[in-house]
Amino acid sequence: MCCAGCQAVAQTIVENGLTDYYHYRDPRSAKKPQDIIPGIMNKNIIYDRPTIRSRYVNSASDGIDEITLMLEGLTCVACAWLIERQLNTQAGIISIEVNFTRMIAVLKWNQDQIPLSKILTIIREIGYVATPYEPRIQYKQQLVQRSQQIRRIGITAVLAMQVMIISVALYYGHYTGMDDMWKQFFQKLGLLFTLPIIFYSAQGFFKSSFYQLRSFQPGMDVPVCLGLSLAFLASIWTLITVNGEVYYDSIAMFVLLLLVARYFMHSSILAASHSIERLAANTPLWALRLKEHSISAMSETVTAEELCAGDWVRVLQGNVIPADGIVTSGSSSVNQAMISGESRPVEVGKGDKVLAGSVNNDNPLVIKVTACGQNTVYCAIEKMTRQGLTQQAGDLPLIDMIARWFVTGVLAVASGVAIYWWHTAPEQWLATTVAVLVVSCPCALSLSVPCAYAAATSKLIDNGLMLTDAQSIERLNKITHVIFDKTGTLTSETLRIDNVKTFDDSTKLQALRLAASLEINSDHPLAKAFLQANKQSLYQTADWRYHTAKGISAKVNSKEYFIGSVKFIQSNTGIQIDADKYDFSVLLADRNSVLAGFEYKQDLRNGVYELIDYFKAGDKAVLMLTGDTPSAAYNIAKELAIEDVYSECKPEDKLGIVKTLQDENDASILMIGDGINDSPVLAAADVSIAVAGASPLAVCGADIVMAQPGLESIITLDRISKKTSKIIHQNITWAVAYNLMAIPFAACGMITPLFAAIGMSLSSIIVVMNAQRLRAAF
Amino acid sequence: MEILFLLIPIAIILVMIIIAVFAWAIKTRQFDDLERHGHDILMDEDSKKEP
Repeated sequence: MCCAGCQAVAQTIVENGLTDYYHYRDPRSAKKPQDIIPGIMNKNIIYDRPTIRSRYVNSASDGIDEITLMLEGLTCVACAWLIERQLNTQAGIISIEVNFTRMIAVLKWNQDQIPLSKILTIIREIGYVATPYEPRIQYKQQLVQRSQQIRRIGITAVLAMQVMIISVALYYGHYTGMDDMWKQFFQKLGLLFTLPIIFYSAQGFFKSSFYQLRSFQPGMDVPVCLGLSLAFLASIWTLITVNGEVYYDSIAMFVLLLLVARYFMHSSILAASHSIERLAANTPLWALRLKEHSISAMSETVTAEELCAGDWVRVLQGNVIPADGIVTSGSSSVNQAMISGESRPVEVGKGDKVLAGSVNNDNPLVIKVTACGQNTVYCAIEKMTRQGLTQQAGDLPLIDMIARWFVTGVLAVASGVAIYWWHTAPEQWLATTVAVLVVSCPCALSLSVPCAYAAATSKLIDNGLMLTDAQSIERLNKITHVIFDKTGTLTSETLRIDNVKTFDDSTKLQALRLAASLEINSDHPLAKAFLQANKQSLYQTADWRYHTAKGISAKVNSKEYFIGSVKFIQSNTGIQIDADKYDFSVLLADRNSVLAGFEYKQDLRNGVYELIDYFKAGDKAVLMLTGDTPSAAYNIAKELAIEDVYSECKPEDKLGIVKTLQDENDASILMIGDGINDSPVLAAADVSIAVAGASPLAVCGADIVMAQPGLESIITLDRISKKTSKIIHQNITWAVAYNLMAIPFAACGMITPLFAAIGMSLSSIIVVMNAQRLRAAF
Repeated sequence: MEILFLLIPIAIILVMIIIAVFAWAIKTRQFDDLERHGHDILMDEDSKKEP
């Protein structure tokens, strides 16, 4: 519950037996606000620095700044209102507008009166997290496109209504007998309303078919435009010769239907983009730069971009290391899992190298920067990812291949019909040819694929899968190899106590209770594992001490205990430890003897076994690529029965393996990964999935992003993609069959424009309904 | 039937007005957030800024 109001609402709902609400509401919106990141208040200060401001803030000349903020923790519309109200009472705020659908806010303020960091802190104080952000270019374009589409649909709908009214008048006149004067008047009126439809609403189709023709790759838009222009030209011809039919109603409805279909497809992809935008947003790294080259010097908060080689930087416990460097003071363990794939924390001391992007686990460190900004290992990986994204070979989608044949076919038939009628009945050649073209206008065909994609995309969102590239659904069906990353993908972040052995007469439970009591104050992932394994109440501890060489000592009932690595126990208690007998990662001891040993391992993500079995049953080759050590890799591989394992891979090695498979074995690869080190491969693979909790860079490189931690939804993804592909095939078959059936009748001059229009709408409705079956499935 | 010569120009002018209003609504970003503003009427609007 975020506030008393919410609690009252929840109570009312339950008391009145309205708990169905909890079944039907969108569970993704019920996510709890994220825990407060330590030091978030200090972090806000960097947003006042000029280098960062220039990246996010639009400054107007009159001293008013504008910024877009990404908001976290919004659960309902009332939250948006709360933020606006709270900020509007502050002096210096010109305006704030919260967009609930996109979970962003546009803020205008006066930096001289109220600094940005203060504003962010105010938002933080009422329970939300706001971070400045810059939308990806791709996303910005999608938003511009969306408002353009809404405008086109609105205008076209208004115009199409007028055209239909006029058409009804003309049809009515056709049966009752209408003065030629009135007939021509209505026809001219129809032209007036159709002109903007052709030159404004249908502009997008004409443009894209022009590009398609120029590159000799006629796609769906070419037959669409051909039909539109011929129907339009024929209507004009009628106007000039005062003889024949007009097709304005067909044009208007055709354009409107197409625009609506594209809008739906676009908006389901946009919905996925909203979520991806938050995952891919890169908050700037900040650093504590020491003012002098000495360990005790004062520090100032700067951005990672401002660091130069040679600077000294202090990295506090739990923070991200801002640049590649060498440790000059302190010792700690750092987690490089995202950068290198190495799952176990690496011990570092004076003189050791650390990489930008890794996390400092235990103790404060002072590092001397050796490379920063564009020269860090992180940026090198980023560059590889970009290259992969631009090089991705564009497979020609199925629909475009069919369209190409279809266009050629329709053109051939139409010219045949024209020549035939020209020789037999010259006065009818134009009407018949246009009838052929209108009837063969692939309305259903052009709707068949977008509708199926839109239904599939929204079905995938329901399952916590967000699509960045709609066509990856189609590519997923051709996959031959599935490649997993290990750390963070097959395994989850958390550690689990796997094996406990006691060496005195106490029980395992007693040993766990003691260990958990000692670990309670530690942030280390291992401490969480102990706390989870222990179900009993904890002991009171005294003299709790955290030792730098990975260990903890504390007094329980005035007896001193130690917990930590073998090395730690040996050096602090003086016990000589027989390495064979005490072959454990973590030991618990008192001053005189070792009491217990613990072994931990990484938990596997939920659904891993099912997923691997599923792929194996589908005759796909399953591989594992990891940056971790061979022993760690083989342990997991053995458990999951994966035969092909490559360990100690650098990002470029992983990329090399994938490229070789693609080039030599003609493999189509599905890559599932999470880390920065996976992102080049994610970008290069045929289809790529970034699991929940993946790094922003990996999200950028992936086609599909998962919102939920369990891997079993990938099975659903594969099923949905199979079903989608089936429905696309059915739709195309139906649409082509309908057109082929109708063309002979039109060619004989047996179809009036009215029946052509009815047939067109019916076949389109069937295609749309068929696509809706996807939503009901699973 | 001659009344149509009056009614139809009126219809055309109405269509133009509708399109202009619609274009204005889009330009002022009223279609950006379709969920939010329906609730605005339920929320108290306090005086915007303290004097």
